[in-house]
Amino acid sequence: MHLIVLGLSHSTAPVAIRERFAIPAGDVVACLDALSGDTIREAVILSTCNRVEIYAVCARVNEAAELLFSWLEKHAGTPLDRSHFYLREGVECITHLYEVAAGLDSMVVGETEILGQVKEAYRVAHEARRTGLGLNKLFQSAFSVAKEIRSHTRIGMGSVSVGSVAVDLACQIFGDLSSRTVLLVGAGETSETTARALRSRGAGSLLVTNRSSERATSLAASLDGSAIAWEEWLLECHRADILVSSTAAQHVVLTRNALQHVLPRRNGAPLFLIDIAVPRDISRDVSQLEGVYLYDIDDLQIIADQNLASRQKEMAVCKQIIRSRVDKFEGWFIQQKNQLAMSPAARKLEGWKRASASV
Amino acid sequence: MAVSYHALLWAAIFLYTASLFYAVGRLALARPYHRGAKIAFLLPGFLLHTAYIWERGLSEGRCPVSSLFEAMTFIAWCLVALHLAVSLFAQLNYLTVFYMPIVLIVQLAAMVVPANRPRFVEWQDSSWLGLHASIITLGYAAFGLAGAVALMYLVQERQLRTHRLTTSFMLFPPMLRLENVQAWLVFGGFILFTAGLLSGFFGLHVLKMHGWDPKLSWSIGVWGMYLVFLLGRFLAGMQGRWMAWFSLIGWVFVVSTFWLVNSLSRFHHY
Repeated sequence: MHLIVLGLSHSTAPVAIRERFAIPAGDVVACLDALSGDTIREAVILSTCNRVEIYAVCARVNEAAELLFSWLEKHAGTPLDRSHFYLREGVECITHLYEVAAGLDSMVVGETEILGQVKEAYRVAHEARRTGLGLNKLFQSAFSVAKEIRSHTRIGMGSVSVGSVAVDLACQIFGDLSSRTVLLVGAGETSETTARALRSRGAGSLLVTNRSSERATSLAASLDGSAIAWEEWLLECHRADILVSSTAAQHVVLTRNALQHVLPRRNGAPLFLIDIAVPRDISRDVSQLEGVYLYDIDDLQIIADQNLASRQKEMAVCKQIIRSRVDKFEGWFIQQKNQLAMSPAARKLEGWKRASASV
Repeated sequence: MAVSYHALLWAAIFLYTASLFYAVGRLALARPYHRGAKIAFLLPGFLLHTAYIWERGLSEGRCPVSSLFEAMTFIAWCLVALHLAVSLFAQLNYLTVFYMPIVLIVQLAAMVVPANRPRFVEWQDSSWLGLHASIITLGYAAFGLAGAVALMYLVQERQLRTHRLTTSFMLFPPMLRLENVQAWLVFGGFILFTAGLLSGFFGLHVLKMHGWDPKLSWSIGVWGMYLVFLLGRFLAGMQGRWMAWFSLIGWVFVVSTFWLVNSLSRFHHY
């Protein structure tokens, strides 16, 4: 009995190759059925935009690998180049799954989406009765390792995209965003993404203004907010706690002088300005005003880069946790293998011995 | 007996120190602060501290707030009590780093000052003293905790304003929460301080002790200072770092002048 993983990921194959071998969610059960047999006793298929992997418990590694390669070729309908694939066995396979589940092997190190995808892949295989003792234990331990890494390390700390950094900062200023008003100045794609992220973190009301009122109205409708006329947004500015600016204007749209007239109506309440436009929309000197915090795209990018660097540094701690858990799992797996190798009578005797030892 | 119940206080000091080391360690490693760990250190420490004050009260047969040692022990206890009470309503991770040093300094300093009661306090046997001293000390503790929260706010605000964000920025509580907790602590402290002042005035009247005292002028000054803060915060809606500076400097003023004023006072001389 051997544990193996065969697959390809963003680190071994470009997207053009990955997409050829991707397995749609609806086909996974049929694929698992197609793979089942004497060679592959248990299997889980993990197919995401960044990886396609088949975890299996097999009797003979080479035979199983050949079967998987030929099945993948057949399923994709195209010959495969084996240099894009990796085959890991035993300890390497366990380590690989632990790293994948903990987000260490992800394109954005430490991201959490992958854990949900691994859980879903396992759930589908488990419900299709394609997992047994080996993969059940392996995946359960992978979830527990991922949880331990998340709670004991800083691997998931600090956002690594500009939009998420802006949202994190807003949350650290205001805490609960439900009573906060967000004003989008310019209805570009980046401000829309940021606004959606703010909404997902519970931002209260949302105002949208744009030179094209149609675009403002449609974006406001899609975000459950309200549109305000471009000519009036400065008059409404005092209502905003968070202002996201991303117009295509070639000049500054919010000056210190204009903001100075707005601030008295805010009674010193903080105003967080996020300027993600290039060239910048907000005059740099507004940050000298009391209670005004301005972050432009470069400021946010620097924080995102620092967070990414910090996650990379944390990898060593995570790998240490993984190493100790791999040893533990390997010990259990070897014990199972030995038990399976015994005759039924010897297995029974071993069971009695254990029972009496535990008493 | 005295020896045995003093062990309670030392055990409390040990647990408070452990809670401070835990918080500083987590901060230095930039690891999240576990609420359970805070409770594990702080709550037993607080219960031991409470048991000590209780035991001392029983053995002395009065409210143990009249000697300098007792007053300082009580102030340290009030700070921890208020932190635990506030923690029920607002999550304030790492506040321990800001206020626990004050608790430890006050409590350890209390261990070296005379534990006996002053001989010349005319109203030392009055129940008014216990009531007045307990309430007003709780008020001071609330102002002190507000000062610690204000300091935490100022650290956060400075990082945000200067764009020099460290990992602590994401680990500390949100700025607005700190601002609100600070304001409500000042509000609570003000109510207690007012009640403490009134009980003091009433006590002097009942005991027919007349004459002006420098401590009374100072107390009215402190009361007025915090009244200005509250009017600014709740009536004028003032917010931000100047209010935090107000709260912090207010507390520093109270602490730095407290002993001087007491030494000049006829009714509060320890």
